[in-house]
Amino acid sequence: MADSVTQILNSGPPGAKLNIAVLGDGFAAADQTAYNTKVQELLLDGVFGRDYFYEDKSAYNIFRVNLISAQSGVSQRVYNENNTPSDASDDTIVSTTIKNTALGYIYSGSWAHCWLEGGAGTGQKVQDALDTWVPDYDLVVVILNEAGFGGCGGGGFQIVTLGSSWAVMAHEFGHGTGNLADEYCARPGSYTGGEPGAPNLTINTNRATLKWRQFVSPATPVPTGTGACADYNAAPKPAGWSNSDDAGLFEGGGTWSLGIYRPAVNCRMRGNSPPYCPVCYTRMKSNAEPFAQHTFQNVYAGDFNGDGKDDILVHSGNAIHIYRSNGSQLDVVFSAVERVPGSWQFTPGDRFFVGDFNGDGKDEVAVFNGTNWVMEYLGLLADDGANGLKLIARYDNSMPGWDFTPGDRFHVADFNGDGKKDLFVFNGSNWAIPYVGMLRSTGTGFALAKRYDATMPGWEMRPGDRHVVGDFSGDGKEDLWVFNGSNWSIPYLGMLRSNGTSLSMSKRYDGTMPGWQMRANDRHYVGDFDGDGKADLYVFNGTNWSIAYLGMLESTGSQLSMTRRYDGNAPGWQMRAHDMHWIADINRDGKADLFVYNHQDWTPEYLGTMISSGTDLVSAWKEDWVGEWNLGTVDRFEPCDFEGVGGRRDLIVHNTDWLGMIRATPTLSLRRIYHKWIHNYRYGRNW
Amino acid sequence: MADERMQTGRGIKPVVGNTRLPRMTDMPPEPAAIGGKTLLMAAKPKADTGKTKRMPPPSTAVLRQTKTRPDMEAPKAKTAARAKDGYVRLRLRVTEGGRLTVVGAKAVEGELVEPKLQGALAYEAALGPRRIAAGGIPDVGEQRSFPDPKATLPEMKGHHVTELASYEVNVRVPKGAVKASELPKLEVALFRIKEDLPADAAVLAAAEPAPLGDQFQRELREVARLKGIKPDKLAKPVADQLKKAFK
Repeated sequence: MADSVTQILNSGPPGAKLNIAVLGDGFAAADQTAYNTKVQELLLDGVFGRDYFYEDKSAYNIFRVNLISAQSGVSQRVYNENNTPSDASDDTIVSTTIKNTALGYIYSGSWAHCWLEGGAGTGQKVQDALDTWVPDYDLVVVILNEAGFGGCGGGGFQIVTLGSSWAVMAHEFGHGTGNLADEYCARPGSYTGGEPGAPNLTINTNRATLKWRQFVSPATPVPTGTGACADYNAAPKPAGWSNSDDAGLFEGGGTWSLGIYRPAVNCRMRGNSPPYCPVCYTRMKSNAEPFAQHTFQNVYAGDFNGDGKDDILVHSGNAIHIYRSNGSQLDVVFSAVERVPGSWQFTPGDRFFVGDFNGDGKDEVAVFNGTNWVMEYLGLLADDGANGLKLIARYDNSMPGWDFTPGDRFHVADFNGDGKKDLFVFNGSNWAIPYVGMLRSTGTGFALAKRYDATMPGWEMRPGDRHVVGDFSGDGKEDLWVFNGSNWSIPYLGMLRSNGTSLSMSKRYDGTMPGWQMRANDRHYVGDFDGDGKADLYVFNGTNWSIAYLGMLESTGSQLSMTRRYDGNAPGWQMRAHDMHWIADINRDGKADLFVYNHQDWTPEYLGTMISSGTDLVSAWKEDWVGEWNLGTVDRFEPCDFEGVGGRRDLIVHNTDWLGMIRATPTLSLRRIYHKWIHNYRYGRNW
Repeated sequence: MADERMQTGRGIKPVVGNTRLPRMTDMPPEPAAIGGKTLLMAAKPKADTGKTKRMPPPSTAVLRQTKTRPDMEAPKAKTAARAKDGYVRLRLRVTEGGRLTVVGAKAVEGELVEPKLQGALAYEAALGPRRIAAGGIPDVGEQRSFPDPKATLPEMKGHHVTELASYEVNVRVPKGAVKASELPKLEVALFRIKEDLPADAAVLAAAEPAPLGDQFQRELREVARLKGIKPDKLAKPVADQLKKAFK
């Protein structure tokens, strides 16, 4: 068996990530499985299976180097500690038993000797192994095949025995990547030095200038705890106080018991197994931010656990996160980088389509990539039973009856009314003729129900066809609406009814609809605005006429009739060319309303609601700001129900660095705002 | 631009976005010519008879999913594109008195993201007045034994910390920013971060050509400086690594 390397966490190119190299010493060929198991246990399941490191997996690469030692186990050294185990200066070597191992480490089990030490040439052997097997490294973990407890850290290295735990390793990574100081207080004396450079220790007891003052609630006394390695003792500890998540000012830290202060009663930098306190967590996140490369650009709302509250899926490059809504805030429940079991490998060109594809009351995710691989892929990601997603179906390049191409456009719709969302797919650009496919969900994958080549009943397909979906007939099967304003001498709108396996033309409008002269830039939004169980049509045109128009066209089940047309102004909203709309149900009355946003035509930006009475709209808006959210040109909106109250009255608003939760009732208001990362600080925030 | 704000209420006139365009009427539209022709959709379109680049015939077969799947296949061109970037990781040894020496070098493919100016030390690599790399180094200069879970003495419940007289750090420089012939002019400075730099320090530093030590005099203290790398004065294995890395 030869030495080798396996990348067990692959987040990206080494220069763009923090790289952890794991080396083994004293593992003979027969020990390699045990070594691999230990690496899995300590690193992937341990450190990276929890809290901060789980969230930020995408900032790290892990390279597991399998070095084959000639002998099993490591060299041993026995010290005579002269009954002063904490003082190495008077120690003498009793014996040294050398084994022929890859790196030559010697285990002593002596705390004062860092439990272990390098042998002759160990430093060079480690360096040679790193140069040979890993492209780059920021942190190095060396695991010794030694059952006794021990570990020695520093300089980005930690050398541990089989007796070490993931928790100690996570603590050490706090030093190694965050420059965090220890928060425990093993020494009885008092610190007498100056202000420490570490972000999580201070000698300053002035609340106004405290370096982590942003995380300390005004209700928390400062100092919060005084005396040797103090707990909360300045006042009775408040109910609900978290020893790791609430920040204050507690005496003891940096190994000293007095004269120096730490931010939390018991953070990972003190007790190893608790999560990082707000101060340490923020430093770790901040350090890793350039490498994690997370943004809030691509956000998808869906109820992934079926609790009635919409969660969000955030896609950044080769990583996805699911944040669970509890009604008013989001918390990370799933983090995956590079791939999920199954397997789907995430890349920037992935396009996600959320819907309950198996009818289990939870949303699944169809994902398509037509740009990043040598062929196109369609996948179906479903609940993995542990708050995450796994791939349950994948179609590589094609599926029976449909050959995927980059220009495929998907629409989620339950076209056969079986309670499982299906997919309509259209391609108007990659073939000699356009195609529409009806991909029926089986619950575990997709099968082609029907394909239309160049024509559908009553409709000649063209590249510029644009589709929306909605059950205009009210039979429980979602139908297909198709508009073309660019490829013909007049615009056309077709209403194609689904019978579950095919489509039939219910009504086609050539140039005009009742009360509406169609134009190329008509934009269509399908929703049941009168609550009669049949999907109706909002149509807006802001650019083809001298003023903007918004029409409400009711579905009779087979065609449309004009309910109301607004010329220039809707009640409470002055319409302009660049108004953007999203279907909503803001007052939860079962009638489809609209969110409306305009960031181009006025000096400030406007976000509004247009609530349907069934025959009319009433609007309200916020100008420039919604609470602390400063509306901007880069903002994107995802209508949803993160509160879980029914209807669709909420918005996730997001851009590269910011994400907000907006509620529309009773008026537009901001529930939460997150910057760079989603974390619910008990008090304060990271900006 | 005038301060235009939305007005709502009775009698507010619609905003006219384009005076050259008409208002909507109930009249049917005038067909527009496309390529000199009037193109209208047939009431009952006929199936297309084109023969080029068509999908294979439709099928309603259900594809059985396998338990394991191969990796998704990446285009070969991607690897070649990455090879154009690259950086060199310099391993530097700091010894007592602030002496810096090169003890290793390795070329690495792919983009380089600079770490934030946070940590125990910061580094700056420059060619004359031109800064070519900067970043923070979190953990240097000490060795810590893990706390003893069976400690018999209070201090053994914590780390046994040993200050190191000599330690090593990694400094990364973009390959395209320095040629092998320029190595004798390459300066690398190491600073102790005395107190946190502003959150936007990297942005400030990038915008300002002045050396980091001048820009952040209060926060940074120089601890070591390497003034030029002369491969012929280094041990042969290190010199060879440098030559290979900057080739």
